[in-house]
Amino acid sequence: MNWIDNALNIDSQVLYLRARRAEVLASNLANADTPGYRAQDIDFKSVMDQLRSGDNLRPASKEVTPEHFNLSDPMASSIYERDTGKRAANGNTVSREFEQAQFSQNAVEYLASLRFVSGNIASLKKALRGE
Amino acid sequence: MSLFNVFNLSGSATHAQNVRLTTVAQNLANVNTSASDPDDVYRERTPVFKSVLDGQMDSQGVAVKVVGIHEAKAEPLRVHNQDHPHADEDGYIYQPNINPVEQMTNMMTASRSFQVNIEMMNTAKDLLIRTIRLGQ
Repeated sequence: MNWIDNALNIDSQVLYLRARRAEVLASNLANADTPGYRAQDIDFKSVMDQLRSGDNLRPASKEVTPEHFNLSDPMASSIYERDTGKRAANGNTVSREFEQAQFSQNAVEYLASLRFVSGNIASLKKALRGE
Repeated sequence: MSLFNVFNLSGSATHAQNVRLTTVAQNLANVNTSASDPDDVYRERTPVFKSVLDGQMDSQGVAVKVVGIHEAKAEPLRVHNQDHPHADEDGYIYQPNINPVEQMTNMMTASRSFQVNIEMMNTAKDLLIRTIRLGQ
């Protein structure tokens, strides 16, 4: 069902991106008091380039053995150390307020993508029913 | 699914902050204890945090781990108090070298971090519930 895949593909990839970013920001906030931890983020531009060149963002299984899945992670290369301009005495660069704001923004963007996907599903349902 | 990993990460952080709160409580509770030998005096304790890779299948998440409790090396306070039952031959007792103000600020940061992590888990839960309802 290629056309259904196409209708849902880009939004579901963006959903995946937002979910991954939530995870990265959660790492930052979780490590707000860990000495030497440096704040990370996902480089949106490099992710867009990947999408534009037709790559899939979700991990694909390279090989499946009875013992384990070996997953390649295409987004690992887009994660970079963010320069926050803050440096505590213990080497930590996380700014709690900034990360919290980013996390909330990311959550709203996730919800927006979710809206788009459910809109697409609603249209597909209508098309299938011939309404 | 990455949003589930938020629970692991925030969970590890709330645990770490909980340990920190416990050590602060211990330190404050023992501020006024005394001993006749400097080696027997309670010493300020602080947890040591370390970031560790979460190790889930598709996760680059970094969780927190408490790798140990550090005991401060600061010399105990030597206080002259002749009538104290712990006083040595010279009339001195030894008390822990703990700064209560430092402990209180430590406690405030710990509880703030705890709150933030709980809030993150709540948001992640909300997003996941909405995702499950997708297409209904």
